[in-house]
Amino acid sequence: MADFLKRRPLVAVSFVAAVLLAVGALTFAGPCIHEDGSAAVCHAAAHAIVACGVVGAVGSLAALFLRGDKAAAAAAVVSAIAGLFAAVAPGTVFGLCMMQTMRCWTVMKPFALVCGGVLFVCALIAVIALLRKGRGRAA
Amino acid sequence: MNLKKLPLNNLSHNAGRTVGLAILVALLAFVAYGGSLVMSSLQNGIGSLEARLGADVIVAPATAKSQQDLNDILIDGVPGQFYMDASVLDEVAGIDGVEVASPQYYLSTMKAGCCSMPVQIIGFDPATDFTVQPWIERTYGGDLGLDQVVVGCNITGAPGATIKLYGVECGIVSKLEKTGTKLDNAVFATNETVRHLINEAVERGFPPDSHEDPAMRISTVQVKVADGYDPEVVAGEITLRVRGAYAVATRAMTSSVAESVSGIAGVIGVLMGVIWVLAAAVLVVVFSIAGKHRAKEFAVLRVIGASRKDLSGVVVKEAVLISALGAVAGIVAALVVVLAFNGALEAALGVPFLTPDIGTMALFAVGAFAVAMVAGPAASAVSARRLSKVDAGQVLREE
Amino acid sequence: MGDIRLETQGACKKFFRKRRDSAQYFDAVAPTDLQLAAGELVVLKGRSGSGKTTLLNMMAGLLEPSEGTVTLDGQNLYELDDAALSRLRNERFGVIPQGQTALHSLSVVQNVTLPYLMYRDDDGCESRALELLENLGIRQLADSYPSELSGGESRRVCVARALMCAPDVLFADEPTGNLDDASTQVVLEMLRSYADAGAAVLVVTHEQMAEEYADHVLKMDAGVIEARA
Repeated sequence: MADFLKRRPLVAVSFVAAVLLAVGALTFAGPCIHEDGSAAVCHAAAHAIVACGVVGAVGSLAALFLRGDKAAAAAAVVSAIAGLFAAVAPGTVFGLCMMQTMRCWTVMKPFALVCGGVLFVCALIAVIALLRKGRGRAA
Repeated sequence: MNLKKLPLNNLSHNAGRTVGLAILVALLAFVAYGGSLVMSSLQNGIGSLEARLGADVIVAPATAKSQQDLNDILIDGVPGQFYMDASVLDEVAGIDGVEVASPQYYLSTMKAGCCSMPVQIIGFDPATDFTVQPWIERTYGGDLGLDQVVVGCNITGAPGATIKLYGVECGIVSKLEKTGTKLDNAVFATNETVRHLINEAVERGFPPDSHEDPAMRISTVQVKVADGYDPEVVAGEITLRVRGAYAVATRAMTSSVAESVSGIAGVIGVLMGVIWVLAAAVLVVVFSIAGKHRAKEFAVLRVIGASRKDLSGVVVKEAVLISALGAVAGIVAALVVVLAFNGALEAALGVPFLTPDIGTMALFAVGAFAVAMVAGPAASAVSARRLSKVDAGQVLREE
Repeated sequence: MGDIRLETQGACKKFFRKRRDSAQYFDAVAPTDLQLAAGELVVLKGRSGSGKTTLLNMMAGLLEPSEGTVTLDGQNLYELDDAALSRLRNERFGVIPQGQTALHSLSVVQNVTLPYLMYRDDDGCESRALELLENLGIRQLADSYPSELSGGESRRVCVARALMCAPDVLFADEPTGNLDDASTQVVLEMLRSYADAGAAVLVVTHEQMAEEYADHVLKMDAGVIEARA
């Protein structure tokens, strides 16, 4: 494990970001809850963030352990896409609540932007590095 | 490889040490930049609150609850409504020192319908208004028509979209700039629109909690005081002479907010100081420990011909590179946190919060960078001095 | 290399030593007169703690004597300022210190070329470094890092580094420590041929085999150079 972390440190970071994304959206950075306990408009966005987190985590984990550089790069691409979607979807693809003072605007959206952004950037750099390495070896 | 390239090579070869030290410098830069951004945002928020309230004096019904509600609406952002007789307007206008008096009508939506939470609707009189329209003009040129609204920046919906208030689809013609105050959560409309909303609601069988006709009743009178008059004196005069009304100078309202802001700023300042002292101390210790472990390395450099100046140059150059890396990371992190989470910060601090413009932020960034670039190399100075004085013969003899 | 002459005149070194009940100076090296001339290989023997390394460090411009002088071609080394003395060390002295002293952040070939590039432009010095490594039998390790080397390999890197700038005077402190017999022979032959090429060479060692390559063998005991062994 330690060897893998050393070999692909950015993938490890993207895995942590993905896990944080999913766990955060389920807990401290979750959607708004009405007083009566009913789901607010932003719940769909929260579900999407959790899904992106899970997909990103699985992708990063695969990229961490897959032996082939190309296969690992493909898995990292999946992670990067999940990160990008998590970063931009809340408020665009999925609507949030009306007041921008609400939790979904003040905590959930920026949290998804930061974690999703980190996931995207790290996974993307990892993809480029892995592909270069693969090409270097082929050459 | 020569002595000029050696520092960068040392850093990349000892990635763990480099990252550890860079994180410490990043913490210093983060605290310096984030702290100054937050302080400046608080300062801006106060200025913005004073500017946005616009009136010198606000007149509200003389009941204790109304006073509390007024404060809730303007300062704490809790939607509410209260009314007094419209004749108060004329009485206020007649008081000596009152230059302009304009009525406002407050209405609070219920939770359901348009929004996930109650929204404050503020109706104003376009003929006399001097507090809302100047702000609307900055983003929207024309006049507000029937069922047209201007929304505070926290209300979701772009110009051109509609917002459903009491079942009426109102067109959003403009969105106000962020002020960092609770008025960012309000919807502004003419009294005519407000009356229409109430009538529609009554017709549909969902009348607002305490609806009253904006022609007969008003919530507040916004007063502009003539030159040469003290707003507090005018406010006192109004309270004394107009029955059922209580006037308050906005300066008095904002001064309580300013007090809590200065309290918060004080706490932030102390926290910044403590974190700085701790991080700087750790930085000095870490540089010093790293320096001790490197005595032999520097003795070898000395043996092959490096002067003392060369050796301290290597240490300082390493510290400068680490500091630059850490400073950039810390500043970017602070920027992300403050910009992305400014809504959460505003909610947590509970006072007006308005991030400064890009120029000011860039200036602060340069300042934080400079501070970190001084702190890192300064922390390494002890170790640079010790290492440059390394007694090569002694160190190598101790092998 | 010309007619080099490195000389100590009454050079001695006192160290301050603190004991539990007293503190006093002791002489690590008693006042010593010693000459090293071009083309000579001098072997300095003696027990551990006899002051050999201290004497070597004083002569190499690394440790200022408590009294007396060290002169190179008539110039007192310790009258030079730090920058000038450092440059002189780089240009005219080569030192092989005791133990493993290769820099960990540099590859083998970078370790060898570093002294050269400190005061000179890169004029293809790497080929000279590779040649030295070839002569020492570690050419294949040029791109390795010190942490990947054995003790013997690491010693040979230090030998190559000391020879890189073609110094007039070569100081070697236990240059053959950690080396097997075959490698010891390679290194000693190299030092001998270096002296034959006109350099002055001082070797501090326990190695019996070194005496076979020496022009003079000196023995040191308790800081005093005794009669030639």
